[in-house]
Amino acid sequence: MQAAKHKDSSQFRKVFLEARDDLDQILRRYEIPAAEAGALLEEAVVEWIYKGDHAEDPSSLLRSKLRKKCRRYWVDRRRSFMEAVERKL
Amino acid sequence: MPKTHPDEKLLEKFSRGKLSRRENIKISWHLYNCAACRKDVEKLAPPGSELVESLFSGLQPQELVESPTYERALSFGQSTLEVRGEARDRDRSRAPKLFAELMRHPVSRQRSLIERTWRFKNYVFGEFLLDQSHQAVTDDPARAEDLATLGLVVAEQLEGTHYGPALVNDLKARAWAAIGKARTVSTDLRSADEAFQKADDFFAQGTDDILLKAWILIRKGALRREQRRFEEADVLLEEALGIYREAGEDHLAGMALLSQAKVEEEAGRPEKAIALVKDARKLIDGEREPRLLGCAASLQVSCLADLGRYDEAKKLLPELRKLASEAGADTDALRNLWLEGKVALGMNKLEEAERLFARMRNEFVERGIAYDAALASLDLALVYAQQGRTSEMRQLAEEMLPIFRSRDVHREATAALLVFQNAAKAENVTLKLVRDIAAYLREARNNPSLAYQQAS
Repeated sequence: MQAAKHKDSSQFRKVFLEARDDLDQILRRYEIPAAEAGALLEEAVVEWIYKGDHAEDPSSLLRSKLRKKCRRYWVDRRRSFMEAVERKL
Repeated sequence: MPKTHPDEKLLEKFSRGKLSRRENIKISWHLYNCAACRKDVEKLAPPGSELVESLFSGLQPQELVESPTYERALSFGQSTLEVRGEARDRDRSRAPKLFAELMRHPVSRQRSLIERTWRFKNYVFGEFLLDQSHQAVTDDPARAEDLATLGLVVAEQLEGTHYGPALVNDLKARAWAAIGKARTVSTDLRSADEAFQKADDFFAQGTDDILLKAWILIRKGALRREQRRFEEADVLLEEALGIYREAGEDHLAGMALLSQAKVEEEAGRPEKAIALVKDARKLIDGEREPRLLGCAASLQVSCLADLGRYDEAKKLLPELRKLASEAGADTDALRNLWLEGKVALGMNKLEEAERLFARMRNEFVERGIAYDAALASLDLALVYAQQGRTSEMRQLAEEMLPIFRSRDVHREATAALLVFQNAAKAENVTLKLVRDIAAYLREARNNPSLAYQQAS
């Protein structure tokens, strides 16, 4: 994509620190088990730093990425649960 | 921990297998997420049944605690950002050098070099290759396709790495769309369609990047335009425009408007095209993509000329030259000569038109772009026909055919040119015949099966 101005990692770091409380809230709202939260955040952060250059509001992009990861977590968890239980019941 | 729990009676029925299938699933899901109730059920289940263990075999039930603390996860996210962010910055600063290194090798070796060398295997370098493909596509679509294919090779090398499948699929989607665009410009429309199908498939497994979606839509819209499926093109471009507008991406919205204008021009609606170009020019950021402003101006001139508004078109010519020279786009400057010739012809400045068309024709012949050389020759023939210069016309026709037979001009188009040659030999060429053949060649460019039918 035609590159907009690139942001360096220090700009991302600043945004992350400012969004930290919001990220905590999102994990809480989606009731993500603490043991899984790190992996979800890692995925969201990696996507964010490679996609955030094009975002007008990088903070909102980070939050939306984490929300998507949380939703996906429950969809996947429910699916694997259903597959296992369907076999047993 | 879930906020509500099933009562003991229900858990007991569950452990004895006395619930309906639906209730069983409901309770199982609760147990899957609640360690306290799992313990209760184990107590209620018949001895030795190990109900929970057998129910969730192969799955790891989780304990949902009431107030989990995410401090550790957030710190982990932050350290991921530090490590990966710095790696990204480093990859970005190295990409141009790596690109130069890769380009020093023959095309046949570049692929294996990427596969064997770790420093080429990063996301940023894949994106860099695709940016280079984008820059090359108008002047050299074959090279653009090579570069996009290398971008795809990089993406394939990233499978199963720390980037995660979604990000890698985005890169693959982008690479296939770039390949599709290069094939569109090369008028290999069937393979372009296949490439876009792959782009869509990978996009569906990607990160849901809405700007990437619009980027693919714009390129697919260009393919539909070349296929003369104008309505479909317009739908795709409208969607891309909406995405860019919503994202506040003015420059890219300008690009989408310009693509829509091209569709209108090709569909024979120059007035609508002009209105769209005017809107596009307000949004396009010339510093970000200088060539795009030149494309917009050139489209405007072309449409004005189509409408016979030659005075207005002529006023825009100095700006057109300036934009092409600022963008340093050689091919654009060459195509602008064509427009200048068209305007000169429209204003009956035949000497000027002849000079411009002849220069165009020679340049295209020299570069081996036979189809455009054919069209420029026919424009030159229009000048000769208006002046009744039959011997020059005959000579032009004799020179044309051998070139077109040896190059990328399809059989039906060559047949049309043969009609022109025969008419020139018989000193029978009329303005109408030249115009008909030129219009046919423009329409048949991407439709080799379209036959030329001589008007009676």
